[in-house]
Amino acid sequence: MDKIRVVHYVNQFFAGIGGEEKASTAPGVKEGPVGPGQLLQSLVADKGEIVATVFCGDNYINENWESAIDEIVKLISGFHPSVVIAGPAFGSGRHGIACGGVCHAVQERLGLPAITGMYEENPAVDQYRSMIYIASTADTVVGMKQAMSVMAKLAVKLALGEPMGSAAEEGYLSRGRRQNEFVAKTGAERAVDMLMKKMKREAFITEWPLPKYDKVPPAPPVKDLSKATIALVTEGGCVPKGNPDRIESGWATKWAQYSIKGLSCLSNESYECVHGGFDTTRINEDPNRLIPLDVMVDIEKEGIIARLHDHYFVTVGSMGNIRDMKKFGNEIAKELKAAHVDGVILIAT
Amino acid sequence: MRLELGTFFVKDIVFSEKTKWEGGVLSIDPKELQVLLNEDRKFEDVEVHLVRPGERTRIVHILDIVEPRIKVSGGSCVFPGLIGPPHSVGAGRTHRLAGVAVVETAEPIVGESTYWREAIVDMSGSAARYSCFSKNINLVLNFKPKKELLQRKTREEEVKDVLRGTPEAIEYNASIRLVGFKVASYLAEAAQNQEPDEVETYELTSVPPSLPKVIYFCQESWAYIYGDSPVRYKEFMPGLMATLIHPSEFMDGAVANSRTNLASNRNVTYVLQNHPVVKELYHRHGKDLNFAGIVIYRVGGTKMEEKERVTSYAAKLGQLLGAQGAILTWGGGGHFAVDLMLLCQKLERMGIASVIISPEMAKNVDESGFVDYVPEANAIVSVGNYEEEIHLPAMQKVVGGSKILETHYDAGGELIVPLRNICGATNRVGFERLTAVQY
Repeated sequence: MDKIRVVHYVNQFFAGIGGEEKASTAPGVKEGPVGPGQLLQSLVADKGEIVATVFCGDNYINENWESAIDEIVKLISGFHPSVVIAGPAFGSGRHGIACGGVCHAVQERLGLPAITGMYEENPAVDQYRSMIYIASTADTVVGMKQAMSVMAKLAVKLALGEPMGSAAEEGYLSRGRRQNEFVAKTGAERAVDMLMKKMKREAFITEWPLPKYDKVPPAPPVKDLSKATIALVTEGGCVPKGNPDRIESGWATKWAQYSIKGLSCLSNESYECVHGGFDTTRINEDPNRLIPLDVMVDIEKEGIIARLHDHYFVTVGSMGNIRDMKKFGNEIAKELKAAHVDGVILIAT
Repeated sequence: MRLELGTFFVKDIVFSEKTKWEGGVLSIDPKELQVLLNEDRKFEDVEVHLVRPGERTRIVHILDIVEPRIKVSGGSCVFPGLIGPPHSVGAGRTHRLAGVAVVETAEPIVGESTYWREAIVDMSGSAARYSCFSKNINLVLNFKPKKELLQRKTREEEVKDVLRGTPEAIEYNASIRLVGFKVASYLAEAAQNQEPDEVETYELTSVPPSLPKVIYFCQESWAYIYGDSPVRYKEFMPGLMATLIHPSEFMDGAVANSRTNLASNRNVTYVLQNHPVVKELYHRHGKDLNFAGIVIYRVGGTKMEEKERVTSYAAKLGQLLGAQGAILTWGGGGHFAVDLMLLCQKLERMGIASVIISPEMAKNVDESGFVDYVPEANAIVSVGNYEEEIHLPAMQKVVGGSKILETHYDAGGELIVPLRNICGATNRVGFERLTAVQY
């Protein structure tokens, strides 16, 4: 069997060019393995050959992203590798972003598999984890041997097109994908097993790790309500009777906006609630219980707000998946900004 | 409370002149069965189908699945409060027919919500493994409503409550289930006075004090409990306090399915009768743990105050029982997740180690699948992600309907469906062997 051709990407430090003072080094290449690449070569052993080491200064690539990536990809492609290994970057943010970017570009533009290695808390992980394979490493170079072992093993697998096991089995950082699998014991049996360990304070591994959500900083408060235009936005599923845009009662794939111009309230003859996640009887009796148009009209008349925006925005939040809801939020926000709306009453159910 | 559960292993079911049990075969008199099916005259017709494991048959539009059981002694009946008086059960002797199930199917009528109504079981092929019900001989009842229920009404009379459906729809569904319970009891009656193949005894005997006390916290917001369920009320009745229930009461059908919620999560009566958490804790009682009891609770409505009240009460009951560890299961959905996590947090802060069993809901790669969580929920058994799509092969025969709900695809054809449409696939009390792994 022919040896797998590997190109190794590293920063200026691992390429032996210099430390921080050489971080502005432009992309370049050296033949064969260099520095820690030699350890990598020994781990890949007779299965593969590191034919070249492409390098770039950590500052250079971050400051000249497009052109640096272009150049690096061009250099890599000249060696016709079957797989690219980048780093490992450990906890270093700049090197992590560089390794992530190179691996992603190589996948997208050259159709080649790629692998890098990072510490879980490397800032580049969040950005790249779902796009590329990132071996789980220690925070610093102390973990070089362990990191290289995992990267070498996975690089060979990727190059040979072998199926990848789960994150825990293979040693890479989870790519955010949950895959159903059958196991020997029932959920109930596994739960009691896990509880016994937990009660005895023995180590156990949760089957479903808790999420880490990003924090969205709130917008500053409206300075002067009496000069503000306020809009009504809801996931409560109250729509014109007949649901003209066919917003689904659950797993909604769309949102809509409807004119409330000239209306003093929402009548139960003209509006209905299609939300599938709660008892909608009360809303169907009086839709203003969900979308308080009657009260908002009064508030506008009294001058507490300058203007009620003449459309309301609606979707159904029941079983809504986060990606779609984020998209809707962005799209609705664009409409609101274009209409010079200053604040929103977001009605949740 | 001591319950002897006598099991009869059913090798086959045949239709014949007399309903009886002999040599591992259940014979059913179809005429007598029809009389039972038409007793309350709520249906135009009820078709009866026998569907066996390995057949190229797909069962669709499933409502509930019931295991035939009958009281021999120690109580008025199984499914108390439904087919008999709501007197306490869980003691004495009960007989069950294993390897067979009564399966209710029906097209939704006007006024029923359809977007989570579809429930499928494939008896063979690549999707059969997702549902343990593919391993039973299924007596499938296909209910046809009276013509008036099929007539289109004016929009005002159509679905007012998308969550539960119109009163007619609720009534229709409840009637179907009642027939299911009656038929299950009728079938088991054939073995009432016979000697079972196997007898298991369930009793919470006293155990060494060194064994840790485990409580099962069972969130069942809709299920019939001795015939009582929020589906019977005009509005959802939140804030019913948490209460205690004995594990054996599940085995006699004191807790039964009342609502057609998401198929893969749905606790059909069969699962409640064979409750896996109850059985596993019973099995280990006296060995490495002390099964100290079950706290059952309905979810505390849509207000925080109600949720705080119910979860604090439930946690306190656990504490009164001396809980050192807790298993928590829940109903699925948004509000229900908040109650679950609140309870978990309260238990953990009381020093009671908690493990949650839960399905996941992640449609896309970057979704966590969680509806709500607390940092204390660090021990979770995942029963699978029900948004994962699976391929169903074409089938020779379909029972229960002809078109898949919502999509209107031919029910017998090749299909790609989310796992949530497969009955019991991600069963939320850990009945199945599916999990989700991080990739």
